Amino acid sequence: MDINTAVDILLVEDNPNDAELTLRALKKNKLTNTIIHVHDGEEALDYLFAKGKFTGRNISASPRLMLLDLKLPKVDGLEVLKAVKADPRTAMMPIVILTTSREESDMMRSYSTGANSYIVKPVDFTKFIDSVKEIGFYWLLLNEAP
Amino acid sequence: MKASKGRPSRQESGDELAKAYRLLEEAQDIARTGGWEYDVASAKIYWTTGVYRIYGVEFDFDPNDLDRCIEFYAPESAPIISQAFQRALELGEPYDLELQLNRADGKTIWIKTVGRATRENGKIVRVSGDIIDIDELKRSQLEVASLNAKLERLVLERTARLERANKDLDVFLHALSHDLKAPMRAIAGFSRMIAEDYADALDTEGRRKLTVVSDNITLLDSMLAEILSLARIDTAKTEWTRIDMRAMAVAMYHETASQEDAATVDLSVCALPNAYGDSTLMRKVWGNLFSRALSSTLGRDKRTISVQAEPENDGLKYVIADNGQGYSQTCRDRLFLPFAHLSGGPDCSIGDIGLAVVKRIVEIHLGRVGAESEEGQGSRLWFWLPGLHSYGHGGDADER
Repeated sequence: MDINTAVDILLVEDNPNDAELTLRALKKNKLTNTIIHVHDGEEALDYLFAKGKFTGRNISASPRLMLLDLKLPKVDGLEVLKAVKADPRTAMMPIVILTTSREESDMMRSYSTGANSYIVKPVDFTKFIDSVKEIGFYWLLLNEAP
Repeated sequence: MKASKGRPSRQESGDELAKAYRLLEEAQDIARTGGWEYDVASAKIYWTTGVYRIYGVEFDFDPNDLDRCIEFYAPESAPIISQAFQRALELGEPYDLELQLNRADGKTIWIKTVGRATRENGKIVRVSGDIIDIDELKRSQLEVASLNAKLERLVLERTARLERANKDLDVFLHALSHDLKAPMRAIAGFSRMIAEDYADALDTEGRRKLTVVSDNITLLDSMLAEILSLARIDTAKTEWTRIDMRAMAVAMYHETASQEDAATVDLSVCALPNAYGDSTLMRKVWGNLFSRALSSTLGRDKRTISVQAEPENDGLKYVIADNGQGYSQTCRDRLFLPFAHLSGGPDCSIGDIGLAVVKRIVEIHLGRVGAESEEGQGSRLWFWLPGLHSYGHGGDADER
């Protein structure tokens, strides 16, 4: 994929199984044609701010939605969230936290840092598919970007 | 001798004086106290016998050797008494001190020494005072203080240990709720993917086996959720209030019972005395007990559930009786353990931890739980709570 193609979804997920399930859920619901999957917080920031292997990418072409896990190698999910919300070039991009953590403190910190939604990944596959479907429909189809 | 009136004769006054002196000596002996006086004009010191006794010296000891007297004090006490006496003598400042004295017999004792100056025509003419042996009292006080300090240290240590244990538990719970979920999600998701992607290649038996896999993951997920809810019943967050038990029981019955239950179950709730506890937790007690009673009466022609309270051992026993299938002894013994069906035998169909939650909450309220049941004869599940006064809120006891 050309790195300058505007993507619909940036998926930041280190667990390959969870990533596969999420991608499948998105595809099953025909929600996206272009999706980028990165595996840690550093790679996510590199992509968003056109650094490292993404040098030269057009920063203004922000993804329409970021699905962000909280527990990530290298740079933690909350740090990614902070960096994205602090930069005017990416601040408007909707971010959905997709995580296993049911901890109230994680949820509160995510919302106060500017996360748009907080979804706890269900174990049940059908529920998982449904959750991803709802996120996709809402943020990509229903929600009007400013 | 006739009691004298008016001014006593010389003979009488001598007798009286001797008597008064003797009584004073006795009183000083009993109180372990002594009096002393320093006369400024003559620079002479006078001690009563009590002072000699406290110093442990013979009566031929000469108290006029001031330096010698000060030497009896312990090294850290000596400069204090020396200075206090000088200030009383020169400035008229009174003193009241607790000091340590090395008696002539070698024993070190705590004494209280008090001194004050007397002025005549503005000039200090004498300094007098008392010295009291307070050794026993002081030693008890010091002992109490040291025991208190030890106790405080112990409390701090225990608190720290408890906090550490709580933190460990949090880490454990976090691992349970967080880290175990990812592999479970993978098993559930990937077995479904096999079922979907290889639908054509799988026969009925293959599909059945995959269903068993995903059903068990669903079961594992709900068991995990229940274990977590049990572990998260946090005693630290309880809010204690008076609880109208009858109103709560009725409300929780209607919240727990399905429409079909409500239509088929004959419920009777007697007058229930108030209780004292955390209402959120207590609602769970009723909810779980009703849930159990409702499922055990399923399939009966006439389903009855009754609730009553009986006073027992300075407390109250709340009983939920049903006419369900009852429990075998093995099952009854394990009724209040999590997932009783795992160890309670094939007839023990309790696949949740509702009653384990009940037990934990009742124990937080310093109570007990139990079950009486014969197989096929219905059952009586009960929880006992101590009387209101047992929680240190005695004023409420009249409401019972």
